[in-house]
Amino acid sequence: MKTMIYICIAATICLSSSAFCEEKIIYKYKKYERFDLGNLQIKGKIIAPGDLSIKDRKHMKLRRKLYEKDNFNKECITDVRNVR
Amino acid sequence: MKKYLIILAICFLGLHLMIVDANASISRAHKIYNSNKFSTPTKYRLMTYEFYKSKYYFLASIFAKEFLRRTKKVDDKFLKVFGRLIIKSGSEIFIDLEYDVLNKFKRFKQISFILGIKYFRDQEYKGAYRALQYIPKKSPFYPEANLTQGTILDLLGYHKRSIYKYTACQKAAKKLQDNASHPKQQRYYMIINETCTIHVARSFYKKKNYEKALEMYDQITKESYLWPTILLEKAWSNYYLENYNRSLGLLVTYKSPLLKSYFFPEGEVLTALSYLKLCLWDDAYYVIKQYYKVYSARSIHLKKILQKHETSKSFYYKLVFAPLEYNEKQNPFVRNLVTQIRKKIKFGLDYTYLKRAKNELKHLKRFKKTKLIKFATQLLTGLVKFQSESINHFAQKSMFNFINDIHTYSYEMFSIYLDIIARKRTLLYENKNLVSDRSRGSLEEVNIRTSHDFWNFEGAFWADELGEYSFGLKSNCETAK
Repeated sequence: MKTMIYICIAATICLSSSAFCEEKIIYKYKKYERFDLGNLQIKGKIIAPGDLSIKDRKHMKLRRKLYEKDNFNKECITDVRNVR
Repeated sequence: MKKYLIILAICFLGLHLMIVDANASISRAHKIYNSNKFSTPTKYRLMTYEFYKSKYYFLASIFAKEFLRRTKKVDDKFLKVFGRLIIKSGSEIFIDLEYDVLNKFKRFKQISFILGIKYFRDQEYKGAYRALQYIPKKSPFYPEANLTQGTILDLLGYHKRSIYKYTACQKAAKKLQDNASHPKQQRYYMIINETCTIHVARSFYKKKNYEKALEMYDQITKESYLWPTILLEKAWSNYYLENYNRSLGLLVTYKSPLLKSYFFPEGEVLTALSYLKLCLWDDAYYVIKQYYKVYSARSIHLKKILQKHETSKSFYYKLVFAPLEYNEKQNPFVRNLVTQIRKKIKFGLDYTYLKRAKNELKHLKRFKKTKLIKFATQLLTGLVKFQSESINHFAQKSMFNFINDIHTYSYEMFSIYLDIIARKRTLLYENKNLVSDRSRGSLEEVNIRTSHDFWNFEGAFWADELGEYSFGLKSNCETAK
């Protein structure tokens, strides 16, 4: 039993010492990066026209219902009521 | 000298006899009132006669109404007195008689006349027409009955039959006008005659026969009280005849100092519409702008003044009798409206009846305060109050109607304004312009009839020219690219 315990302790010490020994990785990025938008190409079909345009349609002429005087009924009733 | 003395003595004696007779009637009325011999209806009938004889017409009318409410039959004598009472104290006093009371005696012309008027006021036109059929040709109410019947037929769409009734009214009114002994009576029948003529014109207008309508309107002379109001109606007829220049000319008449009191919001709408038809949009816009800036603002001010006294039963009455300068200071519209109200036939009649009722009350107060006199004084006091409140109500209604009209036509003006904007926008889209560099007036554009005289407008309104104006504007409706 004692032997087993010694083996385990020895194995743990060996493994931990190997982890500390790994090499440190350093990442480096470019300081400036330039994108040439004009040179970008989009793959696929162009469905919309290149220039802005308004679809031609018939102009609607607005006409409001203006005041009409069809009769003088109201005035006739008032006349009869006010004659006495 | 002797001759004058005799005439004076006869007059004095006549007056004395009249007073004695009136006093005798009052004393008989006392006897009847205190007697146990008669039933209540008989008592009221006999008192009607006594008060009528002593010329207390309003008091007699009150007792006549009470008699009708309690009786099942009436005799010729009562009907004769009842007819006279309608003339002396007006029909208004009898209008509150219940329908079942009036229907009981509808075959009698005097009562059927009251029934007809009552039905008309309650918009029961068919009932009114039937009730007024009982009025015979010889009756003093015949012209009025025909006027009412003609109006009913016109409202119900019977044009030809309405013209027939109006013509009968004109003839009867003319005859009664010629036979009337009193100037006030003559004037009354003259106004009835003119009202019937105007109604004929309106009936033709409704049938879109504008030429014929104008012919009828032209029969009303410039001296008539009704003439200023028909200018607007003539302007409408010309508008539909596409004679916009004449229409504008008629409407400009209201700007003359003599007709300053006649301001009709509808007239302003018609002016804007006429300019619109001539494609003179800037002129139409000016009229609209003026309407909102001046008239609408004034009406808001007027509303504030009137609303304070909305429930008052005497404010409007006092306003009608206040000096014109005072009313002008309150608000220019108050002055105009008061002038218009004072010229209305209803106001004239109501005021006359009020004066008579007050006079009766004054005389009644001279008698010893017996039980009957106290009762009669109470009745007459109530009647005087009712008459003055009736005038107050009439004035109030006219003023509130005016304010409502300003608001209603304000909406119509806004529609015209939007129409102008829409038309301008359409022109802009079409890349067009109106031909607007032409002169503003030309004689060539004036539609002159053979019956018309022609004079240039020199910047002043002449009384004899009023109502004859025409503009000379050429239509601006042509477009140019």
